Amino acid sequence: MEFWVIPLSILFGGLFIGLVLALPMAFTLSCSALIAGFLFRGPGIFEVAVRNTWGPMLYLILVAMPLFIFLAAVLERSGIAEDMYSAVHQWMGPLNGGLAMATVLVCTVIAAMSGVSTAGVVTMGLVALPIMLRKGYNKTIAIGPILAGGVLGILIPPSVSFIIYGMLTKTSIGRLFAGGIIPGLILTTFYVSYIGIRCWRKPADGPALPKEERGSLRQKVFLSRGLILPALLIFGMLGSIFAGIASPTEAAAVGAAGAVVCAAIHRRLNWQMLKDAALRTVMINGMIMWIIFGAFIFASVFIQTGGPTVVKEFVLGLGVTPIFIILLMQVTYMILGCLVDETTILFVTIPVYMPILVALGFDPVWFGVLFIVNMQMAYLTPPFGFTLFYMRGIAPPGVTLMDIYRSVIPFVGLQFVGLMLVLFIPQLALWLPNVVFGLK
Amino acid sequence: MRRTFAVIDKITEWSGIGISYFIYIIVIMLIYEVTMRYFFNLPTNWAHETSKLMFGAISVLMGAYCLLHNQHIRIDIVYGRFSPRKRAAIDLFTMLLIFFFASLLVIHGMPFAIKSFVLKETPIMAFKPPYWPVKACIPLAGLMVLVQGLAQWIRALHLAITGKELA
Repeated sequence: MEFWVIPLSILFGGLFIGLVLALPMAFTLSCSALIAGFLFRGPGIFEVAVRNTWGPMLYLILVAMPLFIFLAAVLERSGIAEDMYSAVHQWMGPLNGGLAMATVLVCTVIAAMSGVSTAGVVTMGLVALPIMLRKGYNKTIAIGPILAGGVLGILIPPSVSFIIYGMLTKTSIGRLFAGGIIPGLILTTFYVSYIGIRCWRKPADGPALPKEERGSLRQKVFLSRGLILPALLIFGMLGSIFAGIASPTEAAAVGAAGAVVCAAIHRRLNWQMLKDAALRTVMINGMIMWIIFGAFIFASVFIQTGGPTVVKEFVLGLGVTPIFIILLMQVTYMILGCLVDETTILFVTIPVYMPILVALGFDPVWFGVLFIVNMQMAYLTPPFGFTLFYMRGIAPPGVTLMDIYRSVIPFVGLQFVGLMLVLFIPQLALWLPNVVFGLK
Repeated sequence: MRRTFAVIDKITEWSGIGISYFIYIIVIMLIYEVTMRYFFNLPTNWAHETSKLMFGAISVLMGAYCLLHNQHIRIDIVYGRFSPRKRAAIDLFTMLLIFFFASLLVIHGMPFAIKSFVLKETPIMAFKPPYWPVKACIPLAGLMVLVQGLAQWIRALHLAITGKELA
């Protein structure tokens, strides 16, 4: 038995205990690493706890995380989503399944304003779901688009997930953001087409708006003013990142202020609402940062055991084609995605995967996009698919957890197709970053 | 004892509310920086560094608040199937690990912060804010988690033994 086997088994045995006994991930990661490290290195390892807590506290790029969370929290309460939906649902309403297609489109726009999956799910769950159910939409075709559209939030920039990935792998956040756009729009197209085809063949699933409820062209144009503010916010924020005017962190601050202004224009701005949004923000930020503290400690001990090098040599010595290795990595993400949260997955796998990717000459931007597309599926698959529980929390009575599970199946399938597309055609993720920022 | 717990909960609750105000400060500072740089070509030398330090402090100090509101991400696929009483019994053991980590933050964080104070440690830049107040947040956060954790632990003990919530 080699020297790294014992600490390594304690490391991962510890994770397993966290999985079963529900010790919060932050402490599962830190404690299994510290105990494994103690047996391996002695009490000197305990200092690692403080040094690796201090490390992530000083990343300027991570400052963008609470700001994007704040932006989303204000956006959810700003009334912007209602306005967008009332416009888009009038345009799309005359089609079978039009309300569900409108939901996907509005979710795509929300995804381009916010960096988390919850903004789309919460707003559309409250605004669009009751309307669709009232109009006689099949429950699964009403719920699925909200969830699938909501998780576009982590793929379409800005994205908190890309920020964490970029911080860990030292990849340009701007490039990652640009890389997420085309795969995100492909998925949007998939979802809209799927809804369109399904409701065209079976109109009962999503009946078109009755004639008397359709607005005149004039009304539609008038309602479309609800799209102006979101468009300004998106172009201001993403434009300034891609043009190199502002760093992602600064753009996040501008976007957060923009969201507050939007709320003011919608007359939704008040002190209580801001306070709720700010408190929620620091709480979610704290919860992610504590996992990152634990994960930093875990990764540092994990690297010291020499485990990653052993795995790297083993994998590279297999003599299989590189794309097969990437495919295997995606399979591990699918399995892990059902069990653990995204940040933990990232910190546990990247120390092992990154050296392999570098040795094989793959672009970390491409791999980041693959990872996020994959995590979208994880957000939607039980048992650990936390967007599902969000939906459950806001859905009207009569919607069961089973309805929610069933509704995501076709969309997860489409996400899988999207994943395979990006995997076999890397240019889908790499073309835009290279156009915007130049070839590396 | 109940009153002590109520006081602990209140302090943790206030800590979260107090910390949340820093979000506005960070937003305003960064917007000031972008505006000064882009429109007046006068970048500040302090906005980035200060927002980073504030972010670090508010991140670590939220540990106790997340514990109070049970918001630390946990995987409850198996755990969620147990009765509240059994869950409390499990918590009695797993929370010892939380205490272990939090006490390390206190024990090793104190000399970490004191050393920074004695050496007057600052970033190597034109603007030199002291590092020690932010470093001192690490043992402070550890202490807050310990105190709040102890309250939660005794509550779990009560629930595990009597099967009733300690109000």
